[in-house]
Amino acid sequence: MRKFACPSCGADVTFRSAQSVYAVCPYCQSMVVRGDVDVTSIGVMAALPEDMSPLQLGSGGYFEDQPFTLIGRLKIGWRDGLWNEWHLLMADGRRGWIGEAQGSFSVSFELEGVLPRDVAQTFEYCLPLLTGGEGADEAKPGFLVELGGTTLRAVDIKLATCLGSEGELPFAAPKGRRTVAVDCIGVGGEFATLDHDGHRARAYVGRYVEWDALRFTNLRPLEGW
Amino acid sequence: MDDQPSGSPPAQPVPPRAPGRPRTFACPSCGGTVTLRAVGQSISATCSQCSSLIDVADENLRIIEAAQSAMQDAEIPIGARARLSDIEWEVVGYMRRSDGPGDFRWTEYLLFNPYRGYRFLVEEYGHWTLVKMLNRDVPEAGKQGWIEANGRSYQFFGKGFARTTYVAGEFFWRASTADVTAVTDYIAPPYRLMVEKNDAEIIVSEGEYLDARAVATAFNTPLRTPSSAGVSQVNPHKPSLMVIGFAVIAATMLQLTSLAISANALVGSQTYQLTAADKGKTLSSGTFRLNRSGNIEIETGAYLINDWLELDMALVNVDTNESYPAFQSLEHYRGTDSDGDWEEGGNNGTVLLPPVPPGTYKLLIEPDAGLFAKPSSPLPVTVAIRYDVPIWSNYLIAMALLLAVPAISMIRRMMFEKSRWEKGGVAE
Amino acid sequence: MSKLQMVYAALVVLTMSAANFNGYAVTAMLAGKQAASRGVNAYHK
Repeated sequence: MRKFACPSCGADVTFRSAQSVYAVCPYCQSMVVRGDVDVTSIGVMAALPEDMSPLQLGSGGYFEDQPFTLIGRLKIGWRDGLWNEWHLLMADGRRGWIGEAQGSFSVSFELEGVLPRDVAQTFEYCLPLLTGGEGADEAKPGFLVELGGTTLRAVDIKLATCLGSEGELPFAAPKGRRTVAVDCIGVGGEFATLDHDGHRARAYVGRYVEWDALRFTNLRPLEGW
Repeated sequence: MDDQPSGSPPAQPVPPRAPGRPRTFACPSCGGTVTLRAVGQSISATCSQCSSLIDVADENLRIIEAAQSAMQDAEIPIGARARLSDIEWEVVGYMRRSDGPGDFRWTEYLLFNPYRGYRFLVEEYGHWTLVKMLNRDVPEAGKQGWIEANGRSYQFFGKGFARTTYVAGEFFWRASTADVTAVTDYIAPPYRLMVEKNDAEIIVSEGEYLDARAVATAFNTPLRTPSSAGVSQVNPHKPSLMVIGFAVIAATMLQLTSLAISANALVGSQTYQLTAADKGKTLSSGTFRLNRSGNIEIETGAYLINDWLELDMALVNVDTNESYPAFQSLEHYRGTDSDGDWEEGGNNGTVLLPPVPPGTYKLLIEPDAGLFAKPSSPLPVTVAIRYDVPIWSNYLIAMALLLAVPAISMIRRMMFEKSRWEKGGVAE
Repeated sequence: MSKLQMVYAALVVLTMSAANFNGYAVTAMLAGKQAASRGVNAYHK
């Protein structure tokens, strides 16, 4: 864990994970990017749109019997809705993501190494979406992708826009950051998301997990619930 | 991709509110109140006053559909809460839907819980199903026949279209009364699998049948009684072979015991040569002694050719003169007609008397016969008296009465299935 | 339902065994006096 003084307000900005390069100051909402020795501010993050998520930065939970903490969050919007991507830090130092959409939770980890050919192929079809164009006909969901040893089916392809971020993240996520996101599901609840921000593609592989199995702690209190 | 959510801060500053509380704003069409309960997740909502459907994905509040025809109330109001499957749910919206021709109608309530997300509570003709979207790939979705999904074997039930005819409340998608989807249904009662397909996506959901009374209790509101069979209702008519099987075994054991302990003794047998001279006379058997109380069976045999015989009998206790009447009629006819040879009646008969007390008895017989009226050779009639005979008829009646229970239950089961499958099939 | 079935089944078995062990036949008790037919049935002629 490392602490830096916010270049804007001087408050502590904490980087709990060595791999985090970006954080939002919890006091002045400055977006702070970590360099080799110092941090620089790249602007101020606007308030995140309100939602009913019971999760918050600092919430804890378990995945495969290992505790994790939520250290960052992306609020994403697309044509037909919004969802949260929570960045999590596992006790063993691995970092992953919890996708929270309509009360379903997917836990995934970035696929290390060279991405499978399927992924590159997929993005070739879908990248025009990033620049406001239409995806190729092949970019219609329904095709199968082989990832991390499992076969998954692409169920939706969408242009995702970052509506805001908080906490610390492995990449800078200012408002308006756009990615093409392809969600894939497997027969047994396997989950993967492929995304491309115009510079590089990433694949995240994991599975859907029920609320009870995640055993969350330190939840955000919701009035009336 | 022209309608990206702007995510811009609200035009007017909003006072800080506790997260979890519903949010309200004014309808851009009529100024009425629009309530958002699933803040940040609802994409469309209707105005409670003018029922206009509003896009609430961002602050621009675009009208999707101006005032829907007539406001339609649902059995369960928006905002109602209930615990179903041990989770508290709040009704945030409902849709009226119907099949293509509009013959079959149902209501889908959208339930929300900030921790558990969404469920659909589907009501069709008083039957309730709690539906969850399945985050599972179902490769065979849409196929007619048996498919595997979420670890269950599902049987194809029906295929058709679902039109949304009315929406109220808020939804996590852009609801519209223009929505038409192709729906394929599968059942594995109490579970049900629904595959909804439109141009953009395939949604697979799994439902579980709920007892209407449980739903009424959970929402603390009276609900109508379900009519006919529910699509994924477990057939309530299950032949319970346990009880009846046990009773059949018990009855059989008792029958065998009663056969084993009955004396079945021949206490008298006599052959009478009947002639016209016996008309009006009373014949008597020899006396016999019964040491225990028991029933009496009288077996009569006579060789009749196109004739009849009636014996008016009385078993008389010679000590007390107590008399027990018995009557036996025999007839035997045969001949040939256009259909060929025929035969009616027979030469033997038995009559059973209820148990008589111990004592010495004789049997008095007053015969009458067709031959008494015409000159003929003597008719030999044998009358045998048996004491404490075993009885089969009680057992057979008991078996029929017992087996009627699973039989009726099986028939009702089949009728229930028939009524269930009448709702299925492929709609063109 | 199951309780009703149990009562019903018990009633049937008990009635049967009561009748059996006392020597009564339910059919014989219900059967009335039946006269013999005095001639050939018309439809055979």
